[in-house]
Amino acid sequence: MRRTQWLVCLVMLHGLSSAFAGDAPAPLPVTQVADGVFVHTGAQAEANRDNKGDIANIGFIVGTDCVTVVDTGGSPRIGAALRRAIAARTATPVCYVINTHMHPDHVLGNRAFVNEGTRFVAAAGFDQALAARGASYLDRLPDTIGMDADNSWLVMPDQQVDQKTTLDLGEREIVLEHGPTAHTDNDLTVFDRRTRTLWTGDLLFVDRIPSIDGSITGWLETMDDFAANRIVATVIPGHGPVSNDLAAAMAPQQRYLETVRDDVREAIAEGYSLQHTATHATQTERDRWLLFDDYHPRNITAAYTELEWE
Amino acid sequence: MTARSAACARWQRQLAMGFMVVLAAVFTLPAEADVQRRDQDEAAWKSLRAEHFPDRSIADGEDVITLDAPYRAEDPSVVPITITDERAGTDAPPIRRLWLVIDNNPVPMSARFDFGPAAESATLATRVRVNSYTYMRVIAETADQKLYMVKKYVKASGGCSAPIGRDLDAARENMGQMRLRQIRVGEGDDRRTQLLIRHPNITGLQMDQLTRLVEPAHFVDAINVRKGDALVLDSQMTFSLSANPSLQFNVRDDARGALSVHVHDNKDQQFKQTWPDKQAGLSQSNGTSS
Ligand SMILES: [Zn+2]
Repeated sequence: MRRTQWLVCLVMLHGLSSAFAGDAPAPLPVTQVADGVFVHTGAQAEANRDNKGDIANIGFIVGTDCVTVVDTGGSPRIGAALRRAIAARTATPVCYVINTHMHPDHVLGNRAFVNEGTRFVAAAGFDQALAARGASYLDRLPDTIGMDADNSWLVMPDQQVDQKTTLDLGEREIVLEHGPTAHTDNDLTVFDRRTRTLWTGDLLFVDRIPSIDGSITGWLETMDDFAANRIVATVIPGHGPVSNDLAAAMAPQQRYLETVRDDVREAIAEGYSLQHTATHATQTERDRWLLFDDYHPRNITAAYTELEWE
Repeated sequence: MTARSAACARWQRQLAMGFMVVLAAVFTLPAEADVQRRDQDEAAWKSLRAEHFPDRSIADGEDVITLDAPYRAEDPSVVPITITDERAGTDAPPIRRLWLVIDNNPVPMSARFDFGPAAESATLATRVRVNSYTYMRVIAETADQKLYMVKKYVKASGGCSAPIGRDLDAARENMGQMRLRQIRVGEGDDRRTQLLIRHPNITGLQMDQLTRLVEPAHFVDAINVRKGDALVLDSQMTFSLSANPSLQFNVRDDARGALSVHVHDNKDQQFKQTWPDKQAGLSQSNGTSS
């Protein structure tokens, strides 16, 4: 608590001084995981007052003409810190901000990049999904990260990807692909051809329990497609460490989703109710994930309400 | 003890006390906020009560009904609840009607259920949306015209604005499709009937921040269930029910005839389906929609 108080004092002092300095946050720490590909790794926690919504992996790719940002973090301040991290490394303009899906920890930093020269790109369905949920995302922020937000935090895309599109960053092409409903109904992957780096967005969680906000069967199909068709040198998950082994990085999530699907199907076939299933199914995975209790019952609920219609 | 170490000890004591004060603040504030919230909620109920049950006394319903709802809902758009009829199998006047009230939902009076002669009891389970921290109440009316109430506090938020999107297209394509299953009561082998209805149940509150893409309300507002000619359940509801509404109820074993379901929504669409006697859950026939 003492530490929090000190932090509050420091933040207040910082607020006073930065009021005169244009309120510029320090550059976000980023790591170059492949040539010209920079990632900031978010905290493996729920969004809270300590991490202030900095829980997702976000970053950027640098071409000769353009930089593209991939996700912007959970507040405009994180977005602004990412912008400073870019400015510290290159004078190349940010032509694109790609949002991998509409979840708040990935998109609420967008506002920091609103600028005439920057286009926001997202999958088809993103705008509808964010429009529907934006208000409840913003309402929760004072409770979670201790910040008041307004509608300017919700930035809608200028360009939507129906299936697949390529962006030219200058001597560097990146491929954006939108597949079936999986983690959400507007998941978008980003693939840098030059370094064979795949940004999965939240189609891949490592160490942190995956959260189902789309379709468990669609997600498993998507993972099968990754395993069969992707040759990847570096994979950047939505949450968790960057890896050079896609199959190994995907294996725990695949096991979790398959086990949940099979257990829930069995529970439905045996006539167990949603209530009962949500508290009993797939407890074998409990010790294998961060934030299990925060998301697992909700995942079971999502899987059950999908699979009961099979 | 030197002056210096005494000062230091005093300082440490102050620090420790300060620490405890901060700790106390951390642990009491949310609780007080909770109490404040609940008091406000009681105020909301006072006006609801005046509107829906004027001039009637409502007794504590602890011995009449049990409301089972999670204190903290995992998914605010799908909150499973069970209302158990404690009068079933007793000589006391049976429950004829239940109202479900979710105080802080946009339309708090969420559903009304009337039970007919083919209902084994007034026990009922469903899934609801919860839009903010709220009391959930069930008011029961017994055959002797008395009212009883129970309530539960539920922590959840965003249920009325969140659910659109996930599987909306599937719900639309197959709107009116129904399933009838025999579902277990808890762990045991006792079963009750579950009716599932494909319907997006759009609340109309899934507002766009940028004033476009507003989904107009489209939800199931009535469900009627019969066994042969006898009524099991007649119900009216609002969009407080989750997408793809689910109802669980008990049908009398000795009630004969096909089980027929008639669903109506606020756009005046109707969906009907019947299941032959003894075949419930095994097959379906005569599904129609208009
Ligand atoms: Zn996500």
